[in-house]
Amino acid sequence: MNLLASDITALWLTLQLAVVTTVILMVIGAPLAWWLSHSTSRFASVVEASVALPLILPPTVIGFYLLIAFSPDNFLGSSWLALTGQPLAFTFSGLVVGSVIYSLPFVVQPLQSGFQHFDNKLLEAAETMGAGTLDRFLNLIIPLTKRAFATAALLGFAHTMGEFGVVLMIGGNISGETQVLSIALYDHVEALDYQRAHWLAGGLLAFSFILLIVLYGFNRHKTVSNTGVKQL
Amino acid sequence: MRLKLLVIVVLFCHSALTDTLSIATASNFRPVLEQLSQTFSEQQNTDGKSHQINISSASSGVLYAQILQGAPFQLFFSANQSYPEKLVDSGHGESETLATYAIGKLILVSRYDATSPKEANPNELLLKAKRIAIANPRTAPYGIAAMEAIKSLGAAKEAQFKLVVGNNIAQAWQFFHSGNADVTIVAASLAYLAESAAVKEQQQGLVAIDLSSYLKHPVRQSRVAIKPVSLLAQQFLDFMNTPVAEKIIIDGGYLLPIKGKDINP
Repeated sequence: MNLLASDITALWLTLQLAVVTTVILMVIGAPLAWWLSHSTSRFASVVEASVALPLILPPTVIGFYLLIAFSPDNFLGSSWLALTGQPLAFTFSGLVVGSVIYSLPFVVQPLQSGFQHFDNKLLEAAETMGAGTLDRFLNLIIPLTKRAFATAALLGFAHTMGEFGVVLMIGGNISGETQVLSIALYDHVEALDYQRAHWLAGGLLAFSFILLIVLYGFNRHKTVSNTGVKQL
Repeated sequence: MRLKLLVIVVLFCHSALTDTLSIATASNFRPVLEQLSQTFSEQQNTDGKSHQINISSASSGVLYAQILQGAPFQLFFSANQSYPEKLVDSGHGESETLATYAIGKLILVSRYDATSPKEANPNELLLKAKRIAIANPRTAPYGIAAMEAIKSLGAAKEAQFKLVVGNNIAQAWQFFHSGNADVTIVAASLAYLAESAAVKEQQQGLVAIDLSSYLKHPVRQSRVAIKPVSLLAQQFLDFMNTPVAEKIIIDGGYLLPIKGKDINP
């Protein structure tokens, strides 16, 4: 029964990590995606490539370098330690840093493609009517690209829920701090506790599947109704 | 049709001409096993026999599960005693080949600084540490041993919230090596390996303390041959008892079991 409690702790921790990561990613991802979708600078392709890197890189590569960067001997680790008094490795904050990098493309790319289809004439019209930048963003861009926002948030959330390799490399498997669901599952398998493993694996599978059904159902519905509007 | 025949003939010839020995080993013993198999092959070659040895390493639990699922290994070198014993019980392992092949030494490694001279005691180092990296006590034998040593040092309470758990000793070592943990407790075999690498890099000195005397249950590593036992597998096991092989094991950071006393019924 002790294990069951640790599984619930892991579930709760994973949800917290996914929520915090998604919020951060939406805040930094939206302006980044907007810039990427409108910039003509050559530098933009470098940024675009960096954003997409976590899609291609094995999570172990990210985890390996992050652990080195987190060390108090290095810049990131020592600055963080000086600022907060806490190290980054083996802490929840460290996992958030890792997850933000790991899930970045899943948030930026849907937003970017949403913004690319955005009609800039609308923005110009709003500007001539005196709407400020924030006003235009909140009352024009977000409502008109809300499908992209929903896709970005759901994908970012789901991808962070299933994060494994990065956490394995930088987490240190501490219950209540860094032991997320996928790590708890791996632990059960290594300990040959297949029954517990089945619960977690089945739960994650069902959760991810339902989330994707919701996402695609939402998108399909919107696409159909959008074309309906256009036909009118 | 002709091509098919050719493929079959080639495959047959290949398997007939070169004997293959597939060995599954716990990760900690891999470097030693590589040396052993190289020396074994050299000896066999001078006798005019040729063969191929494939070594697969993973955690003992993973390998145990794979063998139960029919993985084609002929020898299994575990990091504990129970998995080979279980394989004998389940009928996969040949009971006559079950034996302890090495006893792991547990060491504590800490960075050397002026306040921790060479004769620093392990208890002090544990108390001073901010993070202590060990292998997972739930799955790794050296993780269990590390916990036992911490307990018998009387530092269990203080260490409890400083522990960071690697998937195995190699990861615990990586946590230490990257500077994110200041103390680690791992198998001497691993630290031997990493220490020589550290010397090459001309890194700062490390303090290493043998914790084996704090263990009531030393890490006894057992092996077993998987049925049916091939001639090559038996030859390899016989080679393990020769003085040359025993020296390789000792140089790798292990103790040898006392012969005849190694398996407790």
